[in-house]
Amino acid sequence: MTQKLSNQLLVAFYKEMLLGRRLEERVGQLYVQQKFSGFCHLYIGQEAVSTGCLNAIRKGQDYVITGYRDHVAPVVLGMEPGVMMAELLGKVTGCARGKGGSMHMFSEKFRFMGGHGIVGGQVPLATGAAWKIKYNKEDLVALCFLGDAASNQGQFHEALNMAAIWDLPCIFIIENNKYGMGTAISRTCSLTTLADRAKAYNMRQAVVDGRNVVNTYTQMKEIVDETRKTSKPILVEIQTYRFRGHSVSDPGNYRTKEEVEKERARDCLVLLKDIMLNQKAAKEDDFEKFEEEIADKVEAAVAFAEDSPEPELDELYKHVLV
Amino acid sequence: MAILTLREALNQAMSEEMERDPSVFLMGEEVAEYDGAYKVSKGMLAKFGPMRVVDSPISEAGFAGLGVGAAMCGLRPIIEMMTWNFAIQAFDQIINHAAKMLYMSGGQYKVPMVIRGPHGAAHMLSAQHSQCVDHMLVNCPGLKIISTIDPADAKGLMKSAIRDDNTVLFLESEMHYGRSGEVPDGEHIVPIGVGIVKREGTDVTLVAWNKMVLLAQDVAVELEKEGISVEIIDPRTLMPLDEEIIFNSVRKTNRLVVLEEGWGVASFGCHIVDRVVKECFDDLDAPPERVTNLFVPMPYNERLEHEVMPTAERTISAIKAVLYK
Amino acid sequence: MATVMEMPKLSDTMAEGSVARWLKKEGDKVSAGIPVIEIETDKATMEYESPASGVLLKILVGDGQKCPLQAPIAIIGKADEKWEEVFEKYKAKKGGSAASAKSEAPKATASAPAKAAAPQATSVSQVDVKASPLAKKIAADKGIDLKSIQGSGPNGRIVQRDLSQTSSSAATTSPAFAVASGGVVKIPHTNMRKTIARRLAESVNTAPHFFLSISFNMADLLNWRKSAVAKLPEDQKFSVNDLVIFLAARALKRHPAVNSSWQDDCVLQYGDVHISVAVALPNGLMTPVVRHADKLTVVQIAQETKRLVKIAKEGKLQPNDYAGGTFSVSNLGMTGIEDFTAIINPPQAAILAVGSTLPTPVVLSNGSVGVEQRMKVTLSCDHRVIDGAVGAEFLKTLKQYFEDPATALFLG
Repeated sequence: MTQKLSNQLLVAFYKEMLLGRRLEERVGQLYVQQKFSGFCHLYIGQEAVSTGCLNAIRKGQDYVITGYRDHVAPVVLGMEPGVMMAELLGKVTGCARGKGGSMHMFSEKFRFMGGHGIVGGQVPLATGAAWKIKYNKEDLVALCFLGDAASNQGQFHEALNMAAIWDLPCIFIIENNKYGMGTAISRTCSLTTLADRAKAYNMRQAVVDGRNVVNTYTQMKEIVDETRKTSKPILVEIQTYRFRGHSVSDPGNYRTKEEVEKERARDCLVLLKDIMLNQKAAKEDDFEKFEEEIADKVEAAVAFAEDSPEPELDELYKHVLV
Repeated sequence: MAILTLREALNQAMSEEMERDPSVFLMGEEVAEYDGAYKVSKGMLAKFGPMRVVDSPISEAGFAGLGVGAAMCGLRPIIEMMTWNFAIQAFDQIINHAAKMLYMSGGQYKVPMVIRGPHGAAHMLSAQHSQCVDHMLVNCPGLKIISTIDPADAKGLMKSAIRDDNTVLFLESEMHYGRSGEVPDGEHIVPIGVGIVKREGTDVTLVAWNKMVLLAQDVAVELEKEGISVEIIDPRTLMPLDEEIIFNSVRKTNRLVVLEEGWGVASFGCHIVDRVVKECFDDLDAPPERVTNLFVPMPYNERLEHEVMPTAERTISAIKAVLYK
Repeated sequence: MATVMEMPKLSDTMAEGSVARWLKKEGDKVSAGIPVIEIETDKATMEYESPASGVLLKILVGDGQKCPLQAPIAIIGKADEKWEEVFEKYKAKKGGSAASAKSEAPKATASAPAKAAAPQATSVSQVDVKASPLAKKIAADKGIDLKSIQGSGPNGRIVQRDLSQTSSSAATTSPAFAVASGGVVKIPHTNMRKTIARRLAESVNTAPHFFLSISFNMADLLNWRKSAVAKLPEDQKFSVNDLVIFLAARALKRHPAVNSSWQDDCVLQYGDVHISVAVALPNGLMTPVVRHADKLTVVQIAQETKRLVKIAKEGKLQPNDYAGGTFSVSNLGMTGIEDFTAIINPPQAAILAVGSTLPTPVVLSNGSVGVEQRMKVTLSCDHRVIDGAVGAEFLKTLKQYFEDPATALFLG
């Protein structure tokens, strides 16, 4: 069912996903080197979800919101990687002036309504964005990313119900990486297909492959276009996997090595590389060049972040109230 | 100058603002077709249509969160909570999202939203429906909090709240929606953060807000017969608090009593006393007194309920205590 | 290029790490990204990847051992590399940065001045008055003594109304100040003036003073000094005042009750004798201390006194020069004052005021009237510490020393 995408698009997707991967690996290193502290949830393994979904929307016009695994989405939307990295290091040049941190990336410019730290708390906010679209009769959609376990929260259900009764152009995307922190979703939800939660709200639903980015993109493009046209919400379950623990401090003892190894074989970068080689979108040598190009970008981002100043103390009382 | 009830004054304020600004809408349980559980939004559906006066499902966290998201995207929601007791369901949205969005986004995302509804006890509604939550909310930076039952103040402050770019919590009172008062016509604005001297006096400063102002006024009349002159200060806004109006009064009377509905442990009255003791220490002739609810869940029985709420007797004895009488 | 593997921070709350176990042995091949170690954090035991590819040359922190974050735990390099050399280089680099950090640290401050032997003045004991803050403010404004007011509040608290009744009668108005025709010069207080005012007022107000006067026949002492000084070089000559300090110090050693001070809960009797010497300055008065005066020769006392007076006049006395005296001597003899009483220098218990040595008519033991060179001294005593008889015994010893200086040598 894999559709053919242009060579140019495939190269762009590969580089975008590679940037996400290498950025996050570097973030993990900076964390263990104590360059920053707090929580640190890495996106490694899920890159195809961001790239597949966010290239299917109108970047900078459609609204996007997510949970706390939020380092990569704003970069895919267009934020400079250095600005994200500076936020991680708590610098004033960061996207939230060093006051948000790992879990609270924001960009009004790219209509990225934030990374949010309370599981499921962002879901009603997405319906608010969709409400505004409908209220102002705009030709836009709202994309709400959440984890599989967030679908157990009451606010998720309240939000889906409201989106359904009011026909709000909201796309709820469960990034099903199979674990809510250390608990397998099969232990906390009796459904095998999380998208089936939509049935309770008479809402459209879809299950999307989140490993093969060509599939992810193609399916999401259809869903986004349909939602824009009908202004009806949809619950999408995208199947993915995170190769790292829930956070940097998570050893991942709740899953077997065999399981992780099996999943690594379906690494979105590996899959896309195969497609590109088959389609002759790139040669083996090109991938080394991609690596070099991305490595430079990542190091530039780190350098920008490290060279940036800390917020002054007078920043403390700014933005408590308008 | 018209004589309006509290509910009419609030209705007028919301309607005038919705006429002025198309980005303002009202959402909540029973606000549209039912005309509001307490008829505050009576007639508004007919005037503004179902996109602007919206009946929500019973999902306080959900529609409060919808309000946060809509406000982040440029609308100005008014979210009605049928009572503030139910709003406890939405505390995650109020405290974790609305209050912190501007700060944790480094100033990018404002949340210009009003959450309003009746606050505190009504009559014989028992433990879950008779609570004050102002002291819990005032403890969280990033919010403005208004608490009033005066029709004129309610109109003027509601208009200010709707125009404010922050999340403003508006605390009303179920028992006083039908209470009338003179309300200036048209563009009547009361600024947020400005208190009012409800009654001038010389012997003791009595700080009270919301329905406690009425009890304060009764007590002041009663004590006048004994030659005790009570000055009543209604801050009207709890956050930001008009501290100067309180300090100035205490500097004149040298005595402070705070009369507040709700539990007294770590209450807003504690904060007022703390500020006064710090700023007016040398002006005090007696340790400040507080009159609050008794520290028990609200009982159903009428006689017990009356005893739990601040009473005139307890207020009078607090005032006499600071006067050494 | 070998890599030194450091203990990684694997949780937000981790303060140190411990090696649960190494998954590889020394000499094993390792690859970047493949787990080589299990690290126990405060939260969990986690596998951790090798930071580099090569051979695990050396394990520095073995199974079960703990170390701080970022401490070296292993060395990874090529099979033929010497781990010791790698480690030396690593340590040099780390140590270098540590050393430079140290040199930036502020220099250790010079050792604090030696602690004064005697404690500083004790605070005036506060009479507890319970009054409302407002009442205290009114009382201060109107000059009302709150101790004279009966409080009507709880536990006798004085409140506003207690003052409104007394304020009119109790308030004292200061008399209008008559300005002399010659005009008035306003001299602002110097800090020294303020200190003198505060300390002496405190002394007079809290230490009940009494005074004991006595006069000494100075004939023998003056003769002895004259002949002694004649034989000494210029820098060793001593004055009558130096003799006063010398003899008083030895008398104090015999009467420790006079060498003491009043504290709230006890009387402190000092084993050392440090004598404060009043030195007049153009703008006030200082009392530098001759330490261990009982152990110094009179020549040493003379030299120390000269040094102290010099630096006092230069305004360069350090706290260590004037703190910690246990007894004071004030000598106005050189100005012609016959006798005077001095105010005790708190927290000391006594001060000796020394007048001029004058030819004085006296009734001799045979009943006839003669003339003797006599010097009058007055001892001011803090009655809380020193009773009359104790002070008198001290003066008796002092008289003996003055009139028969040799006794000081064998009695002192």
